[in-house]
Amino acid sequence: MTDARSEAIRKRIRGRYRAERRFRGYGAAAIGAALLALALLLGSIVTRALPAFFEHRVRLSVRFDPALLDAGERGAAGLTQANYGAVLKQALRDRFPEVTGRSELRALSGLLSVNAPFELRDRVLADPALVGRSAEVWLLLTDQADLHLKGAGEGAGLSDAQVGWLEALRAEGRVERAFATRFLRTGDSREPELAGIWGAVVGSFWTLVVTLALSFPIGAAAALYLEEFAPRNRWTDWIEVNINNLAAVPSIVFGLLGLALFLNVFGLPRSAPLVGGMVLALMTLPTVIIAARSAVRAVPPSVREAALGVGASPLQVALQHVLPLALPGILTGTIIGMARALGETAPLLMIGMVAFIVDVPGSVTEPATVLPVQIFLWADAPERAFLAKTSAAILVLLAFLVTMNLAAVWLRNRFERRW
Amino acid sequence: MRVVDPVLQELRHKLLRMGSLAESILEKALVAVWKRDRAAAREVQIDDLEIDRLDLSIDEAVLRILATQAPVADDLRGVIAAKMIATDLERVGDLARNIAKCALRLAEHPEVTIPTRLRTLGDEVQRVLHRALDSFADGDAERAAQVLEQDDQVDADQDVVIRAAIQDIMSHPELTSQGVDFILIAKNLERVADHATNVAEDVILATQARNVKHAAKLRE
Amino acid sequence: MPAGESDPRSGSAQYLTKITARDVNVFYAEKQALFDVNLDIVHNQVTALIGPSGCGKSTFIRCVNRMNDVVATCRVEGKITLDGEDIYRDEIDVVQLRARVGMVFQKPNPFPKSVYENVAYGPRIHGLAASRQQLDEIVMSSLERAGLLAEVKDRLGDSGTSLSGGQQQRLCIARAIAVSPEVILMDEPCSALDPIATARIEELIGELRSNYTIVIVTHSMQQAARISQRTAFFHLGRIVEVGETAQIFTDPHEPRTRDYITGRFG
Repeated sequence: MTDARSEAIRKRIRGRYRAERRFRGYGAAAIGAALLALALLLGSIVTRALPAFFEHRVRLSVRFDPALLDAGERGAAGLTQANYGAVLKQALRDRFPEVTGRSELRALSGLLSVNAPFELRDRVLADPALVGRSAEVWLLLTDQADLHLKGAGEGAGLSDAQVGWLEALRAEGRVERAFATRFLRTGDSREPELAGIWGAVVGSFWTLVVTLALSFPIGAAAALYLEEFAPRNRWTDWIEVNINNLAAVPSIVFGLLGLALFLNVFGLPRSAPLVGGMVLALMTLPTVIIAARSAVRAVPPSVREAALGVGASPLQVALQHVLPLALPGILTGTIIGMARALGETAPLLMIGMVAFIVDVPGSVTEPATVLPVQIFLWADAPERAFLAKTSAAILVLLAFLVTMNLAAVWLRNRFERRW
Repeated sequence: MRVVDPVLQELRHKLLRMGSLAESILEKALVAVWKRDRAAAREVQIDDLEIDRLDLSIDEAVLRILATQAPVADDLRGVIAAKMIATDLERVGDLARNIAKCALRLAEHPEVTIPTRLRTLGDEVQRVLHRALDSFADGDAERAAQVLEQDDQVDADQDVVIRAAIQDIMSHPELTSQGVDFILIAKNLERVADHATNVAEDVILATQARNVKHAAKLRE
Repeated sequence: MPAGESDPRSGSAQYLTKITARDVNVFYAEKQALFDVNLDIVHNQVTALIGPSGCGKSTFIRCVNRMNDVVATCRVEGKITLDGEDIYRDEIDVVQLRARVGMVFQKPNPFPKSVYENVAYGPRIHGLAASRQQLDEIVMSSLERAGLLAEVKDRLGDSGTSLSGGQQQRLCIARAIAVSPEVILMDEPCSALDPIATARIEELIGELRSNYTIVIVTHSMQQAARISQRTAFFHLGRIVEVGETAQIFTDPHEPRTRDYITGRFG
């Protein structure tokens, strides 16, 4: 072995190591770039969404003058119908006695949310003894006041007078910022400060429940049948080709189908999670079937032979041996389908889930909206306050997605470990 | 070419060598008798050692083949037959040594008349042994069967020789010692023929899977 | 070759034939795998099927428990009977047949369940146990007869796949025994095992013989010679020779048989 040869070998080795290090560097750089993009995206969403999670309230001294209330009987019905608006206006006049004109007074009341009278009513209903007394009450501010307090300046849309009154209240320490749980607890509303995401969350939940209940069993059963029982002939080949094609069909087509069939022919309720779920189930079925089929196919034939050898019928083999082993794969396919369904808007628009729904749906047949549609509606709304809420809704959607995926991983692990 | 073939070939070579040694040792012993050649008689002792060594070597080879090759069918029969043939040939060597001892004793006498019938018996037994070994070399079961048929004749001829020798002893008592040697040589020759017969029976077992041993006795 | 030779062990010339095959021809689509197979399997004996790869031995035993039914392109002609009944008759319940004719495969394939569940599955689906206690008894005795109980009695809850190769195969045998079959078919059961595990299984087969009729396909002629009473030699889809094992291995009649078992072709 001459020196020249060993030197050449050493050079080659060094070159090889260099190439490897370069390659590793490229990989790390790619991952770094991806993480950076992700961080930027998430960061921008989070910073825009944060304001939506906080609301501002003002503390006013309110006199529950029975004359103003005009409650009639003191019973619950009377208290519910009482004129809390008048009481509220009086409380404002008490604080700002210089405000006299009707339009001025309207501007002043405009600082409070339209919900404020109902907040008063709820206080009184909770404690009827308040009638005839005074109390310090925290009341929700309107979205424009809220925007101003969050530092929007001119963009808040308040008049100079309103700004003056608001600042005066703030100087007195009567304004506080609180975590807006109502964003997570209430349904949609025309008033931005009252709008919450909960309605859409529940709507998405019910829709996905219907989708899951339909696509998982049907998909798993179809895959089992096609792989274990169906004869291999031209018909089954044709079915397979069609299933593969359906997986690529644009989702809005399924919405059209849902409109024509479920709504017009079957007469099912519009905007209901039932119909939305059925449409999404149609959409995700091809994905589920394809994933389930490959999971079933991946079960080694030795398992089937062993079961058959012991005298199990083909049905027992399929349900008691093949299905449990294929379950992790089927679940994965289903979760992928569900995740796609969670973010679908187009087909649901077709069947009318674009309506403005205030109430949180209590069942699958009540009208509802879903998270992506809600995001779409809010993104379209003119009020500036909805900007933050749109981003916040996107965060909620992402959280929903992550939760679903974690549930899938947990389920998968649980089934894989057991077998 | 199977793994077992060279091993079987080697075994066969050993046996063929043992066979030709057996033939030559018998020839030498008989020549020592006919020609009263003491040197030849002593050589026989040495040749017998060679046969014994071959016997041991074949023992070892057979054990090894059975253990490592697990032969079946004709291979198995051939290997078992090989061991049995080696044993018979080793006995032939011992019998030749006995004949050589008789030759040494006869050579001490100044003058000896070898009975013609004894010579004839010697030639006959040599032919029988040769035919048996030929049938092994060629794997010829028919020739082996012929060997079996000749055994009775050999027995009869041996009887005649012994009876004549006894007659001679009775009529010429001073020739007793010679007579006894003649009887011993005849007996040993008959035993050689018996062993040749065994070899023929082994050949039939190996080639035709028929065990014809002790047939005469079992028939009765 | 129809049964008719007398068994030199027993005094009489009569002995039970458990399975017969008459003029069996098997096709995979257009390709014929078995040609005019005629074979008798004797009751409570071990019959070995030997022959080079692809000669049809596995195809044949898979016909006996109708495992070939799951192969869509497979067509079986001829008659195979179990205790005199044609097993390819329309009225035959294949599931019941497979409970009477069990099978052990080349590569041990226990269910991915616990040891107990592996053995209990068969009896459960065939309704062989009226109570949990009876099921326990069946499981224990099957494991005992398969020579596995001592090694797993503290591990009945462990997964069947956590056992060693030899133990897994014995578990598969216990699983097959648990449904009280009459016949056990074994398709090269030891080919994936080490020599010690193989020896244990051969010993087990010897013990099982008194209660079951066993048909074993094997590539190892020594194994066939050691454990079987009758041997059938398959070549190119036909049976070349059938006979008592000792006779086949000391003096086979057919030259092809002799050439195969002495290794002149493989």
